[in-house]
Amino acid sequence: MVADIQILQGKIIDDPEQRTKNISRLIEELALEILTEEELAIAIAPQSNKSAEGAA
Amino acid sequence: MSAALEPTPRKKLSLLVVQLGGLDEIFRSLMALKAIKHLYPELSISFITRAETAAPIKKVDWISHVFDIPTLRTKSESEITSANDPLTKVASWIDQIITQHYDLLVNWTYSKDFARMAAITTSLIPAYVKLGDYIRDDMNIGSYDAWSMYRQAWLQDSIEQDIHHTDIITTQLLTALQIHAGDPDPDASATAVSSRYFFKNSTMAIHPEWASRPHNLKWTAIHLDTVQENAVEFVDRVLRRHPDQGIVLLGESAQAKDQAVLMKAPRVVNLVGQIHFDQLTHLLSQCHWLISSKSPIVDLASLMNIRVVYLVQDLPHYSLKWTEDGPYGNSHLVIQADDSVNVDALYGAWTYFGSEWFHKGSVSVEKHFENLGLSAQLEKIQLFKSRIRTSQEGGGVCFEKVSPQYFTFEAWMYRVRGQMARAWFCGWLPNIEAEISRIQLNPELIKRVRGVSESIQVLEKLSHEGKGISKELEVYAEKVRAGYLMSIEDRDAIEVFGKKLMEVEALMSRVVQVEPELRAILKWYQQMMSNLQGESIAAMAKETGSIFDLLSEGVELVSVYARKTLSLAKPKAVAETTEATITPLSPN
Repeated sequence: MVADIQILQGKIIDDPEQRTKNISRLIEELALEILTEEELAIAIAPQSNKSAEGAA
Repeated sequence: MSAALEPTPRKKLSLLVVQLGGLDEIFRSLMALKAIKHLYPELSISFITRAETAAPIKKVDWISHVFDIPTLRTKSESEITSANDPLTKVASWIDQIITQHYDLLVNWTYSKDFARMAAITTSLIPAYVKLGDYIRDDMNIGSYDAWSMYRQAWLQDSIEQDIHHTDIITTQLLTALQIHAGDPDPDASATAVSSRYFFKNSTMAIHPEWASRPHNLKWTAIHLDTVQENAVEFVDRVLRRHPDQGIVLLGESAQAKDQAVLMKAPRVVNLVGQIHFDQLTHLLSQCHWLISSKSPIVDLASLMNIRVVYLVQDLPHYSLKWTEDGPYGNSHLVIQADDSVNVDALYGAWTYFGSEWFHKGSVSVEKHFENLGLSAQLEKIQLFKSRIRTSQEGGGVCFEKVSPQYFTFEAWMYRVRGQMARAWFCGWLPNIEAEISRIQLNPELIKRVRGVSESIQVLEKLSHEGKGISKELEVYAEKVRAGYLMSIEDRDAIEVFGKKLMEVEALMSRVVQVEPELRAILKWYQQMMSNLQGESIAAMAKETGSIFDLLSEGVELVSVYARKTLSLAKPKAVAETTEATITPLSPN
């Protein structure tokens, strides 16, 4: 293996407290993603009431 | 780097798995984690998942915590307060996870519907080492590690390769653990990962109809949602010809319910639409076979070591190929047909492998089909049997063709590509002579391998040239380090290097146009280039050089495979005949 170990084995972040620059924007985006999924789930619920039992 | 690769004492680490995908992804993640937990028993594992798919994970006793994605919807606008405002809820939820201080975080969510949500979550939670996809500062999705880039480049682009998805995620995490946590537990013996008792189960989990079944039968479960057109006739044939067999019908769809009614018989248990997860795992643990097409139940059966007859369906909307997400483990059957799999082929395969204990391979599959009067059906299908390869062969699951095989160039490249990935990411090199010796050569294969050799030589030169340009650019950029300001001459010079690199890529594209089977190499280059992480031109040029190094390694491996394959095709000199061995003609 010749490539940098960081490329091969994941980003090494030395400071666990280090967080990305866009925290507030990411929180907004995450909330938006969750809300969109919840809307979708409600919209498709009558056709498919899938849950953990969906494996069967 | 070399110091980091030295064996080190194992550290006790904590791992957070972000898995927001469907049940199929959950089950494959659990398969990978079980193998890893066996090698690193001290590893503490937590999950982030969606509430709808959390139930199976909560039934695994070696998972420490399961965090469900929060519910943000309120019933009405009037209920919105500062405490249940969506942003506050998300921020508090993230804070709660952050307080756990995870050492490793791996994002294994690949479902298109939830990939972005998982990538954002991955970016928000700090960890010492992160693997998988995340959201970059420009809000696009990037990958932290090479296996994730590989997945993006090859698996999502329908490039045929022979590494199962479960093996990819297992190797990805295992290699990271070896580097960051030390070598695996030396006392960890080889053990089966899958088990009929994988999930915690309660004795109350038995469905009453299943409890009252005849207990002296061998049971085959049929997933009617995915095996509709063949099921009625198959069940009828089994009931008529195999008095020791019973059938249990599973599924949820309305069509499955309608079909199940047609199969009413004393040896058929119909549980379509009326079974929950605990009952399902209990039931499957009592079955010999599951017959199904693509469904999470296949991944569940693999996890529970239940043999699967897997009917390949053409699912264009689905991104993975059956070789990447089909049944995992030993002795599963896969039936692939150009059209749909017919009942004769299914019955022939099921009876052949169901009676292996009896014939022990003394009867060939062709003979078995002939005995059943179904020889013509065998010609319409491709039949595969799964096997876990030994570590000497590269490990992981593979699907070996049972029905007669004509070894194509595509099959040759398929194998070589898989070995290229193993060489790149695991530092593992195959025994090429042994592999090549098993290939049945044919004129078409030789012709195509000869053709690819020429393209490979061009790619070798281009990789070398790309490496040289990257090095020159790195040296130049180091000299002109001046933050945001640089002279026009320097800017122009750097632009020239950039253009040269683009020319190299354009030339690689032309090679791929001539030999499309080499597209994987170009895709890999492009994926790596879109994931450059350096913050300066010099750093990015250095990374580019490393990418060309990897390309050279891959191209060299294809070249060696090609040379050795062609050497087998060369005519061998026949031992010289000496005069002494020639019997002189009698003068009479």
